[in-house]
Amino acid sequence: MKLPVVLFGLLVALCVVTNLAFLTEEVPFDDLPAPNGGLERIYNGHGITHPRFPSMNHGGDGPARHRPMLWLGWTFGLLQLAIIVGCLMLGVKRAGPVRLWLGGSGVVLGGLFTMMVLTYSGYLADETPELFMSLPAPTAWFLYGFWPAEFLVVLLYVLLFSRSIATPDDMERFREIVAARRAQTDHSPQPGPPGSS
Amino acid sequence: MDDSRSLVTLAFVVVYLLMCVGVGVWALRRTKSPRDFFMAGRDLGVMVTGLALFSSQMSGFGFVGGPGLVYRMGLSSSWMTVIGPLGFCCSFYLLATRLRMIAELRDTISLPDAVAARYRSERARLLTAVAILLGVLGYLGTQILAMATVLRDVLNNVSFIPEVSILTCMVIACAVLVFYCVTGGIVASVYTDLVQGAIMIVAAVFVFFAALGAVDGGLIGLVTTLVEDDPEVVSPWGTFGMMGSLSWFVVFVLGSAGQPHVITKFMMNRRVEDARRTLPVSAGGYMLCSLLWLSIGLAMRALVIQGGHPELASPDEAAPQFLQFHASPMLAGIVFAGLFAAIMSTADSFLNLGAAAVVHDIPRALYGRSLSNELFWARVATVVLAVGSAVFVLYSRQDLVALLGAFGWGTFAAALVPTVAIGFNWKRATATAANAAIVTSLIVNFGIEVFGLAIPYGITGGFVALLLSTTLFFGISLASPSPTIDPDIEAVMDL
Repeated sequence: MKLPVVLFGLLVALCVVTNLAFLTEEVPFDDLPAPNGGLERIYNGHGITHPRFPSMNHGGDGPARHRPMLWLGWTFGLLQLAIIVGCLMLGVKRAGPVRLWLGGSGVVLGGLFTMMVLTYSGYLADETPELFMSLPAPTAWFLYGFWPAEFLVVLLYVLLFSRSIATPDDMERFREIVAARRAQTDHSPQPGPPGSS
Repeated sequence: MDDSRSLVTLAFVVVYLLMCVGVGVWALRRTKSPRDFFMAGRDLGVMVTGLALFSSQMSGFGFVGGPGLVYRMGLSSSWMTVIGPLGFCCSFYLLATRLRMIAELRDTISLPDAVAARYRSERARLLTAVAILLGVLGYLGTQILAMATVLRDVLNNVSFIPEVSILTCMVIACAVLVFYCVTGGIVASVYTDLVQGAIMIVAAVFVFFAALGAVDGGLIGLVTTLVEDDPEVVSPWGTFGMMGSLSWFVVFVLGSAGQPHVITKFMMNRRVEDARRTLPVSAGGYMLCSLLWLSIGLAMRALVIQGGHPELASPDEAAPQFLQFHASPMLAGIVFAGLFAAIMSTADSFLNLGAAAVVHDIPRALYGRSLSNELFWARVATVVLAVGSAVFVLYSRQDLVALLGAFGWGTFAAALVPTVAIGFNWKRATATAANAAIVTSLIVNFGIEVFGLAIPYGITGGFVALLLSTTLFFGISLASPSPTIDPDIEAVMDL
């Protein structure tokens, strides 16, 4: 199947997951008296004002807000990662080592993201979470794992650039295309606007 | 702030502003044509492009707003900054060589030029230029206001300088910005970006260690304090929660490839092959600057909880207060200069983009040609845009300014990721799909902001707009017959 079709499929899947999230009522919430009478539902799932320091937000009850949709969130994040890796592949014209290695990097990043979610699940349950190299486990996976792992994709670009992204043959062909274009515009009475060649 | 500290900070800022003026004078001699003014004569080296790319992406938001967000919501906003290297990868894989080749092939001097060439569509050029201009107006206004606010803080802390108004500071800041942008165009902009990027990296690394040293117990003391108060703060999603934080992921990674002030710089490289060495410079520089974003916010939150610092009046005070009370005067001076650098490096890029849209792209789309004496009018447009944005930000309703500021990144991402980042790599993409994606992005982003629509889980409006516009772009293109592409453009897209 062609990559753009796969990307379109992934985008549609992300639309579905996002809509599923919209259809799932956010928790926790409070029903408070509304100014015009009746009750107004206030959702606290994305942060509440800190009880002691009003300039800060407080996460509130982590298990209450995240347990019901942890795996929906995992799917939401993983689909985004798949779309990003698919778009990176779209930028590499020829099938070959870069696309394969990009796929591999995507798997590594996806694995690290999954470890974040798995360890976060344990972190929610733990009253006194243990720290790994001074950070809670899910954050350690994020900052010590995911962050540096992004440089795998940078490294691929640097190492495989002249083999797969802009090869010497590509550059030679490009110079020919530019020369042909210049010859064409030099011989035409009036250079046309872009799109007229 | 005591006087010696204030004087050191002022000295750094004055030296920095004089340096910008100096670069403007130097760049004047190198700016002889519209191609020089908008594209730096396509003669930029690896370090200049690499540092200019990341410093224009980081902006003042990274130095003030970023630490403020971390102070307020913990690590939620790390989904805007920790994912930065992946964002640069998207821009480079999708556009670095492609845009550079089309720029040389068609001698384009702006992004809408390249869009018109790719899609054979003047309507696509016009819509791209309009989307860029709307985003530029909002961004530029907020950057100029941020510059004036910081300058006023610096000047008013020096006891022998009489109270300075925000208007005076805006005039000073705009005068320096306009001077080097008018005289040297993008040449001055990218060479100041080079210095600005270097200052930002040095400042970020020093601040990171200063922040860890400021909290009792170092990193472990900081994390323990925060976990005891609220374990969610130092989780990967922060207080904002998983869905909301993750909705920034794709917007800030894929969205990087839609930021015109960043991707236009790909068209200015000296050689196509330079992209290979430019990516590590940009991604590495951005990663180092992210240390400042994260460390100040977490340190100030821990200090306030530990009782080592009074509560902040507003989260955006996290960085200025940290520098004032917990950093050495020399470091505060470097960071204030770095802060100016971050703001100006973004503002100058936007001025240049806006000027190109006004004097080159919109007239070409509407009348088939750009203005005569384009270089002169580009300079006039630069002045008008800077002054206009300053007046707008001073005298319009603040919610309108904030609305346009928030509108910027999401609109660029939703409009230009499909049209440019995908469209330049996929020959089936049609002009109709590109136009639909741009219009959708404008309507959805403006609609959500204007009507104040609350999206469940705090999912950002930019995410919804990007998802809709990109899905629509693929759907329309796949459902349409293959478009006709000019043979030379098609040949470049095949490389």
